[in-house]
Amino acid sequence: MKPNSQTRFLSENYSALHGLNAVPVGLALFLVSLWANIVQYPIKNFSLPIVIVLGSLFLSIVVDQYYKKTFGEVKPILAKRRLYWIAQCVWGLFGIIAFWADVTFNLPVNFIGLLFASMFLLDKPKVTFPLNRFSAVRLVLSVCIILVSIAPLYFGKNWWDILGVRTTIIGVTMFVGALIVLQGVLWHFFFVKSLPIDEAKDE
Amino acid sequence: MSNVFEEIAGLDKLIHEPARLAIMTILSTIESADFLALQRLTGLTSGNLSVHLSKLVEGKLISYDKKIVGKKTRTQVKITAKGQQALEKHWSQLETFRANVQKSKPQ
Repeated sequence: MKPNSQTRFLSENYSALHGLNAVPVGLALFLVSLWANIVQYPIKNFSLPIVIVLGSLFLSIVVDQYYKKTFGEVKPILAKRRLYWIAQCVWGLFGIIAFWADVTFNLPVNFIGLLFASMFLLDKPKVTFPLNRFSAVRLVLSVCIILVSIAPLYFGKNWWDILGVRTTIIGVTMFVGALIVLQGVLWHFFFVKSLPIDEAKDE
Repeated sequence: MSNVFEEIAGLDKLIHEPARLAIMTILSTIESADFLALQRLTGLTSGNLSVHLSKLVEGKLISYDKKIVGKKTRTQVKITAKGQQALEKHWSQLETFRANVQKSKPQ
């Protein structure tokens, strides 16, 4: 039996700790950014990113079914579910503003990257505010994203050229996509490790 | 000291059992959970979990919400208002008990 505080933490954040749910999103972000980096401009054919997005949706369904069949389902309280959808809308709005700012102003700071860094810290406050292994991963990755987002301040706007990346925004989104996948896998590993060992296996 | 023993005797044994306390604690933080999730969160075997859930249902501390999804029946377990009150009372009794034990310790 786990301590009461840990049981509460796991049950309150059960679905939020299902790390693999983030993997399709991260993969799609990485692959679409990679495609944007290698495609010939002006772009005539958008079929590959559409296939990537559809593939990611399919993978999301597979991951969701895996969690339902292996770990069951927990329905959070109504207020929490509402807050989740409001937060997603707010992040989406900030995303549009950040993208517009990056494209319009061409500053040596990447707003999309800074937005993702904020999301890594603030999106799931019940998980990321108490200091634990889940929040530690997010904190480290968030600092990495901030450093990459402000890198043009120190190395110049074209420093991504060294790595063969066309623009800062493509480089940052590829980096963020890869980190989302990494975070998802780590959270899944931590989630499984946090659950109590079954009585039957224990005996 | 006799008061302390009276307090222990006064605890609701239906909730005080560790596995049932864990189930009640889990259900108090969420709207509902299915059987598999409760099994994962408590680490109990399905047989043990069934027995504890039945006892809590008998005591009207939790309730089942059965829905048919496709060809399968999905059972969601919820804490009742009576269960929520009983759990809060239990924690406050334990707090009082702990405070009284601290007070009665020899200096």
